[in-house]
Amino acid sequence: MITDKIIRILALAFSIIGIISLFYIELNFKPKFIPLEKIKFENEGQRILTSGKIVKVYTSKKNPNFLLIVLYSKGRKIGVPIFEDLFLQLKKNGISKYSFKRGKYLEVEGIVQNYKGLIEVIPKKVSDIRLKND
Amino acid sequence: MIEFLICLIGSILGTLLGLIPGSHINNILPFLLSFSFFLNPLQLSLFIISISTSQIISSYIPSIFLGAPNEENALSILPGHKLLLKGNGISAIKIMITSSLLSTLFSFLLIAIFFNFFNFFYQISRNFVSILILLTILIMILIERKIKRILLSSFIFLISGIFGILALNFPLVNQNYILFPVLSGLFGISTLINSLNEKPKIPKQNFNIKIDFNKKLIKSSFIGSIFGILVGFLPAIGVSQAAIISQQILRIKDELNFLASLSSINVANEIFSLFAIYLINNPRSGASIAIQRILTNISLYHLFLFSSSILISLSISSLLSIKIAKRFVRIIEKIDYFKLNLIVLSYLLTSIFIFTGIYGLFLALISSSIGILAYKLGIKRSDCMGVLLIPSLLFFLKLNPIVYQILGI
Repeated sequence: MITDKIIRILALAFSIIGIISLFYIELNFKPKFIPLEKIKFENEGQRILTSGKIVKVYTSKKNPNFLLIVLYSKGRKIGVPIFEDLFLQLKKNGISKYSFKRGKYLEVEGIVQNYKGLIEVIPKKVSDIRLKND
Repeated sequence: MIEFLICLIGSILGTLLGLIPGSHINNILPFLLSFSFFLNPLQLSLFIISISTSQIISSYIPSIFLGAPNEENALSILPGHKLLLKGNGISAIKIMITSSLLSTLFSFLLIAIFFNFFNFFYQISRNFVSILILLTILIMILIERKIKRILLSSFIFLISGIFGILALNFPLVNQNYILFPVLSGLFGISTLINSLNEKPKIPKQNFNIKIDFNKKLIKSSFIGSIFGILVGFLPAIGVSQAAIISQQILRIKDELNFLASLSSINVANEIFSLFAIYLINNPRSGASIAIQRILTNISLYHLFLFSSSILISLSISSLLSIKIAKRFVRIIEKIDYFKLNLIVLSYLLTSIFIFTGIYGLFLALISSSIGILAYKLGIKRSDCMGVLLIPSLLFFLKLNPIVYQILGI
């Protein structure tokens, strides 16, 4: 006979072990590298790693703490939006909008999204953005 | 005339789509876009609008009678199930439909009044949301009054929140479908499993119900419409979070008014999402993104046509859904409810597997365990909404990058 007490213990155990496993999986997850030119709309919602040359950096008049970096590789362009929360963290880590110079290479990890027909890769933490010199 | 016919077909298809547990227009949008071969952009947009609005109404049926929700009405399962077990399943459906229709009128009214101010609201509102969420969380926990229950409630809220931070960031499940296993587990699967364990019988359902057009219902629908519109332009806030916040603000304690508020938020959110393309140049739902892609220049003329399409499809779907609900009740009264629960549970698990794979099932296992734990501890299941409220709070406090960096995920 399964009593309420047993169900409570089982549910608690499954919840805690599940959360710990989830954390362990995410801690050890390495996203798949997809060359920029091969990212498709079908990749929407996936977390990937990609890289490209910075060809344009847009700033917003309404929000000075927002950046849209356009990356280019082999005839394709994608957007990398840096939202305010991440932008402020980057600033604290010594990375400002002037660090994203045209011609520099950027490696970015993030979720693929389709924003008004443009593929974007959205990073969420400082270490998702890696600037390369050439 | 052809446009009216398109809305009619769209409404019927949308009503049928809503009856499939866990279904959503986003799942069939790529298929709908292929209709562009024989429908012009405006006709295709009206077709999508009819489907997306009418499916909201009929989706209340599987949610209330089967405990199988979609993302937007996951919270309706709990009060809906209680009403079903009291023989009031039909009143739950009727109240949701009535408030959806009221919300349609309120939403149009609010949008018309504040037409020129949405851009301004869009800019300033974000600063106050974190305070609103924080207050909601505090009220939800402190409402328990007794120390032991406050501690248990905080525990469920916290464990759900930690699960939310990890689950909503889980890289092995497509982010577009992630809420499906998470919310189905917390509110759908856990209810079904408890139901299987307790073997309840569905009592004879009461068919002769007249909806009392009282102040409470109108107030719930009106506030629900405001929250639905707010959801339309606030990032990281969804229908479920808004329902919980409005429930605390309005002090809604009875099931019927909670359902009224939830369905109003749902409808107002859908309507505003469609208008948001024009009002704030920011599509806020799968359907509105698709429409923005189809119709490049949206004008006031288009908004009037969208409004007509919404009114037609909501009316048709409401009429059809009441008829279907009555027939549905007659069928489930005859079927062994235990077997029905087993079938729905298998269906939900299969759908989760199809959309999100084995890792989605893994998320559903954890979320169901949390849902069952809350139930068995005798704590209100809305505390499981920590799964969305805590990540939303972190978002508005701009703490997400720091949390992810500290956790290393």
